[in-house]
Amino acid sequence: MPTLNDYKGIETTWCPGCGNFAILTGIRQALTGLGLPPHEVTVFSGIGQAAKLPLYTRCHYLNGLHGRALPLATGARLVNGRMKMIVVGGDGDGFAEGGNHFLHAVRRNVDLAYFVHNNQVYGLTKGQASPTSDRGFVTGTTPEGVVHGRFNPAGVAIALDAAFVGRTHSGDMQHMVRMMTLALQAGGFALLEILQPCVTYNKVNTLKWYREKAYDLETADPSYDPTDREAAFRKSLEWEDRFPIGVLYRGTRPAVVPGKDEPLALQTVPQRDITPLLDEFR
Amino acid sequence: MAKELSILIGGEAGQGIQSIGQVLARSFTRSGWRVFALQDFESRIRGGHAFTRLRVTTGEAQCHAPGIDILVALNAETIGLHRGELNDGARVIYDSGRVKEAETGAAFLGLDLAGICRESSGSSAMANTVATGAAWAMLGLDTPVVEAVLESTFARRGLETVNKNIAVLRAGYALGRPYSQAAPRLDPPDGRAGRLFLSGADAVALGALAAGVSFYSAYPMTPATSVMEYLIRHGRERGVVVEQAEDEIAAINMAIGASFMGARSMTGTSGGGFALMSEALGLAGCTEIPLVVLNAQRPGPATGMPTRTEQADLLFALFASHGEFPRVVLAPDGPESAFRLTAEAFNLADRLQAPVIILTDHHLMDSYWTVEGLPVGEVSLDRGVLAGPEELASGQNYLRYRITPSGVSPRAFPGQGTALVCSTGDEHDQSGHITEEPGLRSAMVDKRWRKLEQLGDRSGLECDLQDGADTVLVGWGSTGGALREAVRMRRAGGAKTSLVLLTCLWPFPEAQFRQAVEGQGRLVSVEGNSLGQLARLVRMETGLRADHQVLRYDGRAFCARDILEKL
Repeated sequence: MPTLNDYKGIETTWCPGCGNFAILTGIRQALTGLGLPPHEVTVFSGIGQAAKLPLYTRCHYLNGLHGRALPLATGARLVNGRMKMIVVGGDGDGFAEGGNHFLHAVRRNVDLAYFVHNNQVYGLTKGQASPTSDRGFVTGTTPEGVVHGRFNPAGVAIALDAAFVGRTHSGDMQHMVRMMTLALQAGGFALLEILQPCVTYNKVNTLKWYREKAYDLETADPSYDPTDREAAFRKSLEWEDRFPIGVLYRGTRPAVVPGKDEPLALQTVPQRDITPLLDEFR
Repeated sequence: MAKELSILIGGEAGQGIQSIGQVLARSFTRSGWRVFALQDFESRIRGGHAFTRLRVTTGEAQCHAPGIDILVALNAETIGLHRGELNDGARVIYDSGRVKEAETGAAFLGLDLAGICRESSGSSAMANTVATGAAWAMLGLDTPVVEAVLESTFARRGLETVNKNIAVLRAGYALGRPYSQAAPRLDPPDGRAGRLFLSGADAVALGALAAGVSFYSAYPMTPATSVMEYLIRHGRERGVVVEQAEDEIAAINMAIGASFMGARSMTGTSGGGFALMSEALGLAGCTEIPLVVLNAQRPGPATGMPTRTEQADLLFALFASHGEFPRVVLAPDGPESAFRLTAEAFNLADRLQAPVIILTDHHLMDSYWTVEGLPVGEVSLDRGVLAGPEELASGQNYLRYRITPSGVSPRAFPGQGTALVCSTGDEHDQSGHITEEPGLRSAMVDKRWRKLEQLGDRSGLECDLQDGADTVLVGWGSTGGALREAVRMRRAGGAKTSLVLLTCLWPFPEAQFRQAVEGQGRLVSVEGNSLGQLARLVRMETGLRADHQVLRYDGRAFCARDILEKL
């Protein structure tokens, strides 16, 4: 059985106290919990502090361009149905630069687990507002406070009928690992929104803030049915006073899951005889 | 009798102009003539003015020729726009149901196409088949070959459609027959059977299929879309995954992701889409992930002229994306080389672990040629240097970016073994981890550049040299056909002329080029852009200046006469 140590990568360059550390630990726990060895897992990422995560684990990874992790993973998934594939990124990477790809990855419903580290602020570029920043949030680029509407990842994913929409925060390891595990088993496009603190640039949405506002959907309402899309959408709108964590939604749309047999990408390149095709041109 | 004839079929988009052209051209090809077909259409679905210009010959047909011997006009505008191009003895077939005030007389044959269709119990949608029959009759040719072409064209739609088309064809043929005596006639063909009639887009798609492409992603963009459509039509059952992406940025990133996993991957677009792809082109360069990118050019900048032609992305293709990394830019000039170079592009991408760009344009993609065949037997598969069993079992010790004398690192795919494949667009060490160490950075840049040596002495140009030539014509891509004919015409007039066609624009085949033009006469570049981009490239790489430039940038393709007039 794989152990946590198998997934231990090189030293990180994150700030002390960053929520990314807990998420990294959570991913390692979830993967070992599923009994997956590193060579059966590929992690895709774009750019940002969260997108550095693959470098700090040990498994296959492709660390690409800002906002473009989902298309990279989509191409990979379409030619390999056997590998477990995770996409990681932050709120800027996923919803600003990568917003269009996010919409279409959900719509496409390919089998990918998308873990978004949402700290509601830009860390790598030193503290500007992000698409998920709350109204009134003061940053270097919004000195009078954010005036735009907050991008609601869960709400958008439910609107587009994702296979799985979950939310958790990095202050509750047990809950986070459980959500990661469920997302990895969803069998279609799974969005897991992971709220995390940015200890350097976000003094508002702290771990304390998440702990106070978050409530576990399952314990709060045992009768909650995550396949009820309208109810899920209503849940996704709760934010200001308190917000739900847990499995918000499970879609029922068929997912794109390439066959688990010999992946197309690993088959010998076929020497195709195109001669029969030439008749069409005679 | 004539060695060649030009037939122009014009009307509104949506009237079936292309299908008349296709049926006629296939019939000529099957009968043993050669055809070149130029498509001219506006960026609209219906209406406007569109035409197909066929050049039918007993000799070479690699570009269009001015003048019209038979004009098929499906609307009045076609007569107005093209009457000035009619050659002596030309004949005009027009739709008298739509053209009210056309001339009468021996040269003009008015046919009520829709009415004839009704009388022959066909639908009015078959009007173009009536016109096809009339045109074929005028040339004094027999119908069976056209009937056979209609049969293969409409077989998919059932026997009834085939029979109705044949019936209206015969009706048109009977009406055109009396006019055949006075109409221009073609020399008999050389009778060779088995030739193909296909477009550059067909050839690119067939080349990719032959090379074992297994993933293609694109966002629809004229004139590259036909490649995606062909691969969906014929590739899926042959194991090709085709994904229509949300934009060109996604398209190229998907192809990179699929190639990272080990699939032979390709993406295709036109200049504007290629501009969007340029960032990810650098990702393929830095991560050393093989990738084939088709840029089917059209006039820019911005949206330019979406259905017209231009060769103005040459310098852009060479330098697209930030930073420095090796790439190959190939330039086919017709269907055979489009097939050959597309198939080879996959091998080059794998051997160099780098992006390979195929630079075509509207003129090459959407024109049709009769060719003897495609070099199917020449296609071989070379996946480059792959990791062996020991490396595949090396787990976390696998070095994806091992620094080797050739610059190429043995490649493993995720899931092949325990070897962990780690790739990043950040500068990285041999294992694929980020580094900012100065020595390593330089070593990695050098390693990547060394890979180009894999090209060896691969030929990057096609030459037709004549001793003592006073002029060397230099060109690339779809101007090739017009250039070859211009050379033939000049030589026929007694002027010694040489031709150098660049088939690989980057890395620029400097030594080969110097050797070709050395001791020859004045250097004339012929290109479809306003800057003289090829001439600039030649100057940059060899120091040689073009003595004269022939440039065209009105969105239309060169024909041989255009070139000769400007020499």
